[in-house]
Order: sequence, then structure tokens, then C-alpha cells
Amino acid sequence: MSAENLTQNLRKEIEDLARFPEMNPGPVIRVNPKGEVLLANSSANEIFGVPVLQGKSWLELCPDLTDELWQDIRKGKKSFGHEADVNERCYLFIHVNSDISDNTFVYGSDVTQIKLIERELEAQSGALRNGQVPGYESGSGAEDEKEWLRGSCQ
Amino acid sequence: MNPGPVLRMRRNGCVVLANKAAREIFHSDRLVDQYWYEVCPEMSTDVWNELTSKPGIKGHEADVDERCYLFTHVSPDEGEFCFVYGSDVTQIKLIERELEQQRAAVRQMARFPDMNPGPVLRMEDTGSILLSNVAAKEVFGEVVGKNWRKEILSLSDDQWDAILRSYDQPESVELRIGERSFVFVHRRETESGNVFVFGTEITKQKVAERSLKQSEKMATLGTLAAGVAHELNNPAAATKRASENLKEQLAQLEKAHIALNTLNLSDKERQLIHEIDKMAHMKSMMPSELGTLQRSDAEAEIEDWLDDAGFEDAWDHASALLNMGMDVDRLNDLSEQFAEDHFEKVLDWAASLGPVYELLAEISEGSSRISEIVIALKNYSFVGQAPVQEADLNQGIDNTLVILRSKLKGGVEVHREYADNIPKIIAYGGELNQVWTNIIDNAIDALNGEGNITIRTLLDGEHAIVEFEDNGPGIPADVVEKVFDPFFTTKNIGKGTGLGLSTSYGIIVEKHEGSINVQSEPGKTCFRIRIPLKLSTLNDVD
Repeated sequence: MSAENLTQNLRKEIEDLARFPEMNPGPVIRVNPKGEVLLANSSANEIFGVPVLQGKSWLELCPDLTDELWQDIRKGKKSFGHEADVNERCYLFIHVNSDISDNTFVYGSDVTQIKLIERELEAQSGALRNGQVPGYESGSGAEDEKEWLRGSCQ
Repeated sequence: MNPGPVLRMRRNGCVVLANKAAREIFHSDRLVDQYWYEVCPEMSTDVWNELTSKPGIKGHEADVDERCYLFTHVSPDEGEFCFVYGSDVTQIKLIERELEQQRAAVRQMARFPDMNPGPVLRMEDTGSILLSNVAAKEVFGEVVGKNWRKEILSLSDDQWDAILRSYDQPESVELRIGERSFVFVHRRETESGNVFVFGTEITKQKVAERSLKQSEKMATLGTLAAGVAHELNNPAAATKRASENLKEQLAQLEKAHIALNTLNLSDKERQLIHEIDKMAHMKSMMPSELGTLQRSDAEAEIEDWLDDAGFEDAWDHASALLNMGMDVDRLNDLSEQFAEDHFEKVLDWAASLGPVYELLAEISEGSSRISEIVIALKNYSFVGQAPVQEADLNQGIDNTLVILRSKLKGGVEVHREYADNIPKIIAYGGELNQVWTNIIDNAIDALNGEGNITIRTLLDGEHAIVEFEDNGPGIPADVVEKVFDPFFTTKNIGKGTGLGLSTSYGIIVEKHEGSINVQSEPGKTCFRIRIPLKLSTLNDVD
């Protein structure tokens, strides 16, 4: 195999593998140790409303990602999840430090739904603890006891 | 003639001959008599010795003027000379460097799927898996070569066709594996036709959803219980109050009755008393025809008449006598028919009797109402009946309105325009009532205490149609398409789970194979439901 063919094959392999982040419907980002975005897929660009994320600072883009937190992520051997609100949606950004380089991979998933469900559950639990039933005021007495004779339906 | 550099040198490295190309590369006309290990970059006596100490051919690469050369050293078995043949390998070196960079890029890019914490797979359009990452292996084991569509997900032809169309819009499939739940987002790539799959574990979300659904059921039950309690409270309170008053009134009646029995009444008087009794009984069951002012005037006339006639307790008796249908003319008439010393005791008795009948009527009405609500509740929930049975649509809606009546008070009016030709349908009756409840409940909330809800039923061939129309502010255009999505709600946190209409959709469309749609504009929102009169199949959809 000639050097040229080898290069072409490798290019094809790169292109094939590069499709993985691009085909991912969620945001996928690769960041260097300084926090500079080296690669971001279309979904990431779209979510952050930026045409090209490459070259920007992940610490500035990702809400509530402090320098201290970033250092903790960099030191960590396991993946690290960071939740952040971006454009009225809630995302869980899982940071995974590369095993072959000093880069960090970031995989985002939209967790807005589960956050809403959790908040709703919390609200319902609170309401039940307080003995409230949606749609009904407490303490209704017999002040309108004749009302039932008339009803409200026509 | 050799286009590349060629040199001949002694075994000690001293150059004895250099061709034109060599002289040009090293920019020197005086290469002869120089030592090669001093002229050639990255060369030393040690390197020279290594290259030439033994007979053979050895290469040495060196950069000269930003170009890279491979100098091949030839040391013959015998003789006093060595030979060096140079060739420009700059291009090869550049390619090698590019290859190395590309290899590094490949290694980085190749980590994307493997570093992904969720399962990632790539497959052919047949479903045959070409690649799976570590997370996928952890979930499924080794799957490369297996068929995703048939062996892993068991997808139908329709589902797989949808995946194969997922060039722009990803197609999601949920899968439960043991105790864990996943959603797999499929995306087909235009160029290769391969399908990429990205999985996310949603176990936590599913647990939360189930909790919320359970919580929603509890809240609905609580709402119904509160509504029914509220509805029962009024007639029960009225019945209780009436029964307490009845005790007192019966004591008075007994006293008046004893007084009446002491009189030596004629047959005619006894007959008149019987008629008064009948009149009091009848009037107690009829609503008063008098307005407030008319009643006040009539009471005053009776009171004046009693005062003029010298009766005690005129004020007390006037109201009771009026309620049992007495007026001044009737009193005049009766006074002429009773003995003078009998009439006062007769009126005392009559004034005690009327309230007794009234209280009994109130107790009867109250208990009837309680019974009606209990029956409505029983019918609403189809307690003790099979899930699928004959159901009267109009009656089901009425039962729902009874359950929701306490929420309908205030400025919300319900107008019922029911068709009377709809036969009983074969349906999940209890679940249809749940649909009516969700839609009416939403309409009540939308009206915010004031407005109209019109409910229509009509027959359309083999289908029944139910419409719920309200004149509230309407559903915003950007929201109207999402109202049947699970967990979609415009209400504040804690005010609605967003499951009501999604559940209704499931009941109508999936269980009854009907349709439900909504049209909305400011001042008019209409939910239209179309259900077959008879279920074709039993659809056990959760």
C-alpha cells in the first residue's frame, strides 16, 4: 500500500470516527486542560447559540462551572456530572478525562423533563404534607347549603 | 550523472570525492579533504564508526537547509574507501509526519464513542451491528455482528422503517433491561446509510415518572374525594339542622295536638282539620311561588289579621301559616267554619304542623341528594363492574358534573346540549369519565372563575361525538400541539402534572381507537372526541 493510499485510508477512518460526535443528537465537546474547546458538534453549537464553539472557553460557556470545579474535574479519574441551565433547558454535562491524552470529553444530555418531574413531585409531596387538595379551598362550611338545591348546571 | 549527492571517502571519514549535487547541497566547493562526520549534520565520530566499522549498508537521516536527506553509507568488505549516496526524503518525511498527526487525531476521535458514558453503536441498515462502545458492552455484552433490530430490540417493520427515515429527525426507542430503563436515539447517516445509536439510561426518570403518575392518581382521588365531600356536606348539614329543629317542632306540635284533643270538635271541624293537614303536607313539598317582597307583604297581612282577631303569637304564626298556603281570605273563611273558642287552638296546631312538614321535606330532599351523589359516584367510578361494559355517554358526563359541581360554583356555567339518540356504547366507562373529568377540570381552570362551558353530544354514524367548548382565553398557538404530550403543562409547579390530557389521549385513541383533537382561539377552545359505538378490540394500554 502506498503512502498516499495509507493517508487516504486514515483520512476515511478519521472521517468515519468523526461522525460519531457529529451524529450524536446531544452536545459533545472536547476540551483541553486550559478549558479551551477543541471540538464541538452541531448540537453543542446550537444549544449554546454560537456558530462555532471551537476556541472558546468551556468555563465561560458552561454556567456555574467554576475554576475550582474545573480543577476538580481535571484531577478526577471518574466521570463528573455537572448540571447547568442553558437557554431555559437543564443539561447534565458529564465530563470524562481522556485515557490517552490530557483532554476532557464532555457529553451533555437534556434533563429538563426529569427536573420538572422532580419539582412537580416535590410540590405535590409538599401539598400533601400540608393537607391540600388541588382545586379545593379548605374550610368550606354549610354557608351555602341551599346552593345544592339549585345546582350550577343548566 | 547521479542527480543525488554522492561522496567517496576514506575509512577515517575524509572526503576524497564529492559530486556536483553534494557540493550544492552543502554549499561547498571544498568538501574534499574535509571529514564527513564534521560536515554532515547529526553526525559524530561515534555515529560514523557505527555506520562504517563493519562492512554493509547503513542509512543516516539528516536535515540540510530545511530538507531531509537519507545518506546511505556503503562500506565494502575490502578496500580503503567508503561511499555515501544521498537522496532527498523530505516529501516522505512530511507524509510520515502528517500520518503521525492523523494517527493521533484518529486515536482522539476514536475515544469519542468509547469515552461516552452511555451506550453507543453503529450498524448497517439491516440492523447488523458494526461497532459498540464500552458502555454498550456493559449493557448488552458483545453485540458486534448481532442484529440490533431483531435480536436486541425486537422492533416491528414500522418502527425500523421510521428509524431508516431518521436522517434529520432522530427516532427514539425506549427499552427496559432488567431493572434499568434506556432510551436509544437512532440517527441514520446520509453518506454511509449506517444507523448510529446513542443510548441514555433513564431509570431514574422512569422511577420519577411512575412516582408522579402514582402521585397524580392520589391527587385525583383526593380531588374527587374533596369534591364529593363538599357536595355531601351541604345536604348533610341541611339534613342535620332540619332533624335538630324537628325535635323542637315535634314537641310544640304534640303540645298543640293535646290542646286540640281537649276540644269537642264537630265532624265538620275534624274534616277541615284534615284538609288543613293535607294542604300543609302538599305545600311543604312545593317551592314558594312568592317573591321576597310579596312574601313580606303577605306575612304582614296575616300578622295583622291575627292581631286584629286577638290571637297570641301572631308574629310567630304568620310565617308558618303563610308557608302552608294560608292567606287572609282563607283565614276569614276558616274562622267562620270553626267554633270561635276552637279556632285559636286550631291555628296553634296548624302553625306547629306546617314547620314539621317543611323540616321533613328538607330531610327528605337532603337525603335524596346524598343518595343521588352516592349513586353518581358509584356510576362514575363503575365500582364493581367489568372494565368494559355498556355506558351511557350523557349520563357519564352528568355523573362527572356532579363530582365536579363544587368546582363549578361561582361564575362558571355549564350548558348541556345532549343528543337523545345516542345508544349506550361498549366502552371502558370508568376511563371515559376520567377523560371528561380531565377536560372539564382544565376548562374550569382556564375560565378562572367566570365563563361558560358547553358540552355537546351527537351521533355520527357508527361513532359518538362529544365536544367540550369553553369561552376562556384559549390555548396559545405554540402550545396547542403539545397539549397531549406527557408531562406538558402550562400550569405552575404543583398545580398540574401535565398527565391529564396525555392520559385522556391514551384512553380515547389507544384504548377506544377513537380520536381527540383541540381547536383553540381566544374566547373559544373546543376539545372534540370521536369514539366508536362499539369497541372492536380490547386494548389493554397503560
